[in-house]
Amino acid sequence: MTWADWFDQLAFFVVAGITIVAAAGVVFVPRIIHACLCLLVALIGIAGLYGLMAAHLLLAIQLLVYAGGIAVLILFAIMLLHRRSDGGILGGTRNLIIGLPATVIVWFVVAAAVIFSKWHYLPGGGTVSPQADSNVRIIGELLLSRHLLAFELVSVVMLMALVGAIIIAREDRSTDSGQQVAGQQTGESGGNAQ
Amino acid sequence: MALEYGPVGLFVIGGFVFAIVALGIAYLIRPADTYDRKLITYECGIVPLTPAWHRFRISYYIIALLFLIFEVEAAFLFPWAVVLRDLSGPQAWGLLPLAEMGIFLGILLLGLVYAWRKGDLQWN
Repeated sequence: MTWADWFDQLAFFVVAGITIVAAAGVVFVPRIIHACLCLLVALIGIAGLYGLMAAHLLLAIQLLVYAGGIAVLILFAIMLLHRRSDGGILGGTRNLIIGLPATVIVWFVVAAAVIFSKWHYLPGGGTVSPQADSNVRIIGELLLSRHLLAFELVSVVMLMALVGAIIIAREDRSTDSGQQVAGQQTGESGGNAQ
Repeated sequence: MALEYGPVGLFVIGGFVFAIVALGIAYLIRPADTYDRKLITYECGIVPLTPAWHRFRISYYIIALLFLIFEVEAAFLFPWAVVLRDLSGPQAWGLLPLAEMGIFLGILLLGLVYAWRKGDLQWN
């Protein structure tokens, strides 16, 4: 093994260690707001793992969408909740007897899926390609040609998600007058008021 | 492989070092006498009436959702933008890549138009 290989191994273990510790923090940290911040670290760690696998597009998406967007959304969801105690909303580890076996089962299913899957590699990039934008380029070409329908359908799916989420999250308002908003309930209305 | 992330690593290290140095110097030179009233949440110099932790309006959530959707869209712009110049033009596919992304954006814009028309972007 060359020195660079050793460095790769070291980088993997450092990044994976950070990810695992942060993920454990999500479960075991008492305050839910801290758990959310741990989740942010874990998501960034996963982005680092993608980077070590030279999946540059996934790295960008992971940072942008998950660390940037999903974490913010979860923070907002926490802030939409009632305050349960002075220290914020407390999490906890209940139902350990059911949760532990369930986790182990899920772990085995995922591990089996990883081991027994036939992995499809990008054409021209069977192995990890070190060029910074080569596999982003390949993915871009495929998205615009062979997987064009899926690409456009992603847009439709996101449209449906957007409209559905807005309808669920909408505040109470006077019946079917589109522009007129009831607006009296400042933040007091329930999460899924119709 | 990981060595190529050297600049990224330098950024990370630089960020940590900056934070540690800035906070460390502040810790060393600031006066250390604190009392309870000093530790109250700062709210423009006024004594806060309520704790800072309170329920937020659902409107924030809708804005965050819109942000998230269009961020995913931005993520799809990356691979498109990388190959756009190579694939466009008379030698390749002409205006097709542009049109494909136009359709993609157009479908998503419907969602923004929907939210706009239904008044979900109104702040009251």
